Amino acid sequence: MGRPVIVGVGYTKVGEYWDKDVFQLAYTAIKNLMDEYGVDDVDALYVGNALAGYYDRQLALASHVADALSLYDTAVSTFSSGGASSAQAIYNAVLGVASGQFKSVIVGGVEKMSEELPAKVVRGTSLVENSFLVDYNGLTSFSLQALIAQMYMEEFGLKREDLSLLPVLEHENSSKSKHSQFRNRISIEMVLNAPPVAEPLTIFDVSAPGDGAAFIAVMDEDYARKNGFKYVKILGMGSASQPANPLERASPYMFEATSRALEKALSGAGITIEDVNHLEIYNPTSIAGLLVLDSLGLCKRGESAKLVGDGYFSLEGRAPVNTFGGAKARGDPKGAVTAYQFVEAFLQHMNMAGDNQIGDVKYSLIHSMVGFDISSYVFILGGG
Amino acid sequence: MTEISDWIYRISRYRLIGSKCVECGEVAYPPRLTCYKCGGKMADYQLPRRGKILYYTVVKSLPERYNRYGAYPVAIVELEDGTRIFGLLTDVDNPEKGMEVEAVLRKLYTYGEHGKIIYGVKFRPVLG
Ligand SMILES: [Zn+2]
Repeated sequence: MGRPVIVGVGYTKVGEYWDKDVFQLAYTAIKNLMDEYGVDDVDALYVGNALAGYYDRQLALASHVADALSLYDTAVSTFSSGGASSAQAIYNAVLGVASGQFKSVIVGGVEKMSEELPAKVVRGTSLVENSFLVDYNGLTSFSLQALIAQMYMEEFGLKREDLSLLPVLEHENSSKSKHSQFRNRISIEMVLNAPPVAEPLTIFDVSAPGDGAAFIAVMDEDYARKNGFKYVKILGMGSASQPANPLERASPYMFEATSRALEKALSGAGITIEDVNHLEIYNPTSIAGLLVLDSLGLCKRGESAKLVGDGYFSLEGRAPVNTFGGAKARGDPKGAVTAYQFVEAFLQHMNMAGDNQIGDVKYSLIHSMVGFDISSYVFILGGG
Repeated sequence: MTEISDWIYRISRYRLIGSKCVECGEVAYPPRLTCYKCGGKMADYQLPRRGKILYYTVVKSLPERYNRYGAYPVAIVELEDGTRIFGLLTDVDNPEKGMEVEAVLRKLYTYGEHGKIIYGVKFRPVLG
């Protein structure tokens, strides 16, 4: 049985690349990883990507990324599930190493969203939801979440301003980060007064399309040690699902897939949530972020906004969240976004996070999900 | 959604037919193959055509195919039997919570090289 560890990362700044396509972005990130960390033995290449097929660009992407890099002695797999594409890739890469099949895997994701018009992007990112429920009905990911946000705010007596707290925190973190897409600080009033995408959500409540590629090298611990790599351990992981239709759930604003995935990941790592002092969660909207935080068991349901307001999740807080800005501000290149979260956790553990460095990081929690918590993934990292 | 998939679901979509669990009686729309509560088999179930708006919002960040006519309202509607479903609103300038609505068959969008017209249910205020 292998023990999976992360030995290196490679990534591009998230942004709009008018002169680079999906292959050039993937090449840049993977080449940086291999050169900087001296990774040259690659048993497998797993690639997450959400939209290349939808954009009529390329199907079976991982095979063509391997070809672009002339990596032929590798097992390749493509994972395509929206913002969780690279979470699925990493989940399976970790299994590959844990099983003993692979000693060294390069895994991550790439996304080129800026090639298409906004309406195509809105539809493409909404198609991870049940298409009869959302796509056919003229709903979108954002309008679905806007309706649930209304129910949530009504149930727990939250104000519109409470939704704004997390985006403000994320932009604050992003303002110091070199690889983030949106580095402007924003205020609660700016979120409130921005153009709506679907009330109560405004453009500052939701992530924007971004291009980028991020990859990590996962190796077996013994192999990594023998070859002189420094590393961060992947100590536990879990995944679970729930009905896609929020109205079919025990509560429309309960992220049960996340809480179940979390339970499995924590028990695998043999720790409790109180041991975690760094989180990189996936929240394409402000409301989704609060619901993820609600489901971690750190507070009662409906109280996570208060914790955000109290500074619990700020860079200098008890458990900093989205330390480089998260999907909202670092950027949301769908198929690569979980890989960016892993990159950021790696940088924190290796004391390489620059102005975004948090003190004494012990255990990191990485969270990812398909759509509005339809299927979720939680990973625990630690012991660098 | 391809033309064939759209055709397969046409009856359910035009007539607001959901499904009901033969084991526990749970109702679902869109229709499902298995019950999300007990895993039981589902049978066709005609949903009531009337209900009221519980929550609504206006879609302003428009998805492809629904981007021809500008912003439009969508809602969570509670039907007369208590089933809550997502749906498009129509014939209404100022939706309100609690507004009585009824299902009507409307054109949803056109797509494809041949301009195929896709129909489905929208909810409009009950007149009078
Ligand atoms: Zn049932």
